[in-house]
Amino acid sequence: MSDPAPRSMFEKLLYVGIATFFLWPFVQLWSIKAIPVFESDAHLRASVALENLMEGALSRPFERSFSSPFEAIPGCEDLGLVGRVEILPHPEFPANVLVRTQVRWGVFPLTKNLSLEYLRARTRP
Amino acid sequence: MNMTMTMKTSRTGITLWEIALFTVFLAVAGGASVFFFFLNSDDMKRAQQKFAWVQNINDMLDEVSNEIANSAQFEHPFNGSSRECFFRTAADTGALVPSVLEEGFVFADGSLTYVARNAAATTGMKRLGRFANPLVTNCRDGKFTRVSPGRLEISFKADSPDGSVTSREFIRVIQLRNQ
Repeated sequence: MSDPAPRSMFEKLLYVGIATFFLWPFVQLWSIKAIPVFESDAHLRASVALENLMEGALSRPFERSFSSPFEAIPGCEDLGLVGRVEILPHPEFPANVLVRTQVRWGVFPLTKNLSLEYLRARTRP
Repeated sequence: MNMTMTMKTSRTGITLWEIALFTVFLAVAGGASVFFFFLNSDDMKRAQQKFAWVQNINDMLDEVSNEIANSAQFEHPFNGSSRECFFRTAADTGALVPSVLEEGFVFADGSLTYVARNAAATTGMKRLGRFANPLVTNCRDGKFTRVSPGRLEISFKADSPDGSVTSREFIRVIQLRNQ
């Protein structure tokens, strides 16, 4: 038996390339944090809940600053969906406020969140 | 001496980590083929149809919300909840159309319909955007609730056409922008 020879740099790059070719789709799935065929319904529900949260926040009386903790969203308890509303002065346009809503679900390593922002003025255009 | 060392390190055989790499690729390929068979299965087709149905209703609700949110004046329900809602729209010129001409959405006969009414009658419209009337069929408990002066909530429960999903609840909150 002969002891194995070290591979050349070219061969090592070739192995890395082949491995990347095989594993790249899984990397992409990891990067979007979802497997579309299984989790698209959860995403759809979360996005609708996000819009509802935003519309609710916009129909509140005008405030310059407001922040709520993450609270469970009724109707989506099976998903474990929690959402929050933040209202903060816009960093560049002092007359406007930024309304930001976020929803979050999932357990720690696979936590997903969606956020939506809306620029609001005190007076209507 | 150096010559014999070089000869001795010639490439023969297959190393352990090459076997491991081969096994990993084999596992990935096997898993992928099983997964593709699963993607072709009836279960998956049914799930896709269900999702398409839900997404279609949500797209339709987007259109309805857009129409209601941008109505020039929201007339009914003024408070409480109702199975129908009516509002005045703005004309393309920006003028308000006469108050006898109103548009609205009605939950009736297990469906949601886009209607127009005037002093004489209420008639169904042909379509709302790309959605033909009735906008939703097989829906129950549909109502429009005026939660607060600037906020309307639409909620209903719907069954999918093939009967695989029952009582899926759809809720939309709308900020009435012009109130």
